[in-house]
Amino acid sequence: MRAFLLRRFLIMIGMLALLSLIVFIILELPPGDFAERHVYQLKSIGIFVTEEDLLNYRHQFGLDRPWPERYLRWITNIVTRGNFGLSLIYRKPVTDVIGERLGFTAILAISAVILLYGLAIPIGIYSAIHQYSIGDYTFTILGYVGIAIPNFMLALVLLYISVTVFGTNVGGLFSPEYLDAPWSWARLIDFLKHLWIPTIILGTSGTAFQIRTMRATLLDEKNKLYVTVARAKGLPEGRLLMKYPVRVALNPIVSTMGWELTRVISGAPIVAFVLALPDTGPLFLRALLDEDIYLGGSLLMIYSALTIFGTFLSDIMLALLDPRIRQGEKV
Amino acid sequence: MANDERALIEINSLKVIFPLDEGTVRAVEDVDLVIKRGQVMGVVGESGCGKTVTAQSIMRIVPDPGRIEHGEILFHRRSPDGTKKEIIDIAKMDPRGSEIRSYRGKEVAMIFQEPLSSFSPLHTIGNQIMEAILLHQDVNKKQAREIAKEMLARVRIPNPTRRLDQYPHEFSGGMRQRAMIAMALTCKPALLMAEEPTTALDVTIQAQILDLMKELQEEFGMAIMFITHNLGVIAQIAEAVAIMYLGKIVEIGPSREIFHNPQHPYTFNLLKAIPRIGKTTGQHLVAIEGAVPGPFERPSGCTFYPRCERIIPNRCDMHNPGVTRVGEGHAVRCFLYSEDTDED
Ligand SMILES: Nc1ncnc2c1ncn2[C@@H]1O[C@H](COP(=O)(O)OP(=O)(O)OP(=O)(O)O)[C@@H](O)[C@H]1O
Ligand SMILES: [Mg+2]
Repeated sequence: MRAFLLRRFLIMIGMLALLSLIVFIILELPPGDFAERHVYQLKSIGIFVTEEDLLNYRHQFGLDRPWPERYLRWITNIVTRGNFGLSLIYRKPVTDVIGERLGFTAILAISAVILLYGLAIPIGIYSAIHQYSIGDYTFTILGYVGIAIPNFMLALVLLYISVTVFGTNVGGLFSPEYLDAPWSWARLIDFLKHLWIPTIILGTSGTAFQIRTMRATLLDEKNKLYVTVARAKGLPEGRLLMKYPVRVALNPIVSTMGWELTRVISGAPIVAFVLALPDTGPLFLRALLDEDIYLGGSLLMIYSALTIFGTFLSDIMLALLDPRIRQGEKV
Repeated sequence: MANDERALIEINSLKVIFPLDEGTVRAVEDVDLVIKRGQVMGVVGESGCGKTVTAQSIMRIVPDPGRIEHGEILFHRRSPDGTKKEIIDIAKMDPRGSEIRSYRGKEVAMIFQEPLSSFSPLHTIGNQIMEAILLHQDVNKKQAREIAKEMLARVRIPNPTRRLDQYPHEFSGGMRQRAMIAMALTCKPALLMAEEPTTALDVTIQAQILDLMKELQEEFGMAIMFITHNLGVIAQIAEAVAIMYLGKIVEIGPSREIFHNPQHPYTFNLLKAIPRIGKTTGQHLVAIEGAVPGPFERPSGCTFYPRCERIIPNRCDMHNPGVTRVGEGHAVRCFLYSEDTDED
């Protein structure tokens, strides 16, 4: 187990290093830089700027250094001081800009993933046991509908429901009166009242797929010999099912948890944008549009790091679940 | 037959079918079989003749969509001291109900063909053996562990304490088969059904496992239903043999009778097909003339007639032979010995 964890941990560190480099390169790829963009903006509001000013801005933003140097400075600051650099748009440290918003993104992603599995696993089990029953078909159809409806569409529908049925105001994560209030029970409840919409949107978009996975693996597993052997021992059906095939069927579910998290996180900014959530999503889109490399890069880096970390967690869970993996055996 | 003092399992005109989209497979038909206490009964026949399904029926674990169409499977239950006796009909029980569970694994246990996939890969061997003990015996976990350990030692697994905490993938094939036997025997069943328990193993280990089973059978006084293609193995261990063909028992009798005085042309061919004992080690059935008809193309009349060398025209191909007694405990389904038919 220890060897397995150590290996996975080192892989994770390697991936993070590689990732940071890729993120940096991606951000450098688009033509033009922030200085040009800044100059363009100044020009567009009628301020006269010279070629020299442009160079000055470049220098001021540190954009005139060679990229390896910029990369090294960026990453060293992140690792040693948690300093993600200055946001070029806001002219504040990236950490300040991201601040509380990152927490919201994390809460949103985690609740979406919990919802996803909380629905998919029991429904998958139900569908496998009651294969071809009305319930099974209903869930299948609902699942496909869930896949087919684009997230933004679902967002609008849920917003409509939220306003007409529950009378909550539209969008955001807080009602106006709680927007800048300190944390309290009332604020928490208000927060939860807003949280369910993005959670459902993000959570349900992957549910259908995971239901299919659970159903298919379980159907496969429940006819395996070891299940028959256990039944032949006289084990009651319910216990039999949960102890053996369900446990084995969780394996592929758990091992895809990493990329399910990726999907949720990469889907989050658009949803956040549609719902005007005060999380990192809108910031991210704006940073990309305005070529704010430090803000965009930091967010991209954080999102991807979360994903890699999620994969690491799912590896650990997989190891806890399956002794063959724990002992480094090929399955 | 029911008045036999030694009867343990008594199967009467059992019929098991699989209704499939392509048609109905009659996997087992008109099977009558009595297994006595402490008896080793060999069940032999070509692939697809219904050996496994018969065993599955006794355990009520016939896979979907298979079901028992009619017939009875009477189990003569006795309390451990032998005072209380009752007869229960397994065929009438709900296969998912609670009644069957006090019988499954306790009175009747089964060893399956593939030791490799018989254990869950995610649970320790100890956990899986202890589960059987905890289900049927009034003991706590610690005691169950002790029993499991003794049982592993009993099937000669070295280091049983350490082995209990290992997973199936840490066991070799032979070890897994031993563990499987240990698990089946923990509750000292009255009947053990063993399906090709040695085919996946190499020859020396096969011999060891057979010896072990024989030894335990004598010690526990249990009956064994031994399912195999290997007549050599049957000759070594079985007291009686049932020969199956296309879902029916075509001949049944004491081993000596079957091997030295076979009556049914099919049995005859089977025996002819064995290489002489002593000449070669593999005594598996060698293909005999003609192919087994597919599951949906059961011939009318005697199912064996298309391959039979001694066919009686207008009889074997039109009527279904009944059971004829040809000796002490020896019966055969064939028109060569009587004109009885078995038509409904
Ligand atoms: N799960 C199933 N679904 C459909 N048909 C089945 C199933 N299991 C068995 N059968 C059918 O029942 C018949 C008897 O099969 P069974 O498995 O009992 O044969 P067998 O004598 O054990 O053969 P083998 O020696 O190959 O193990 C076969 O015709 C087979 O096609
Ligand atoms: Mg079989």
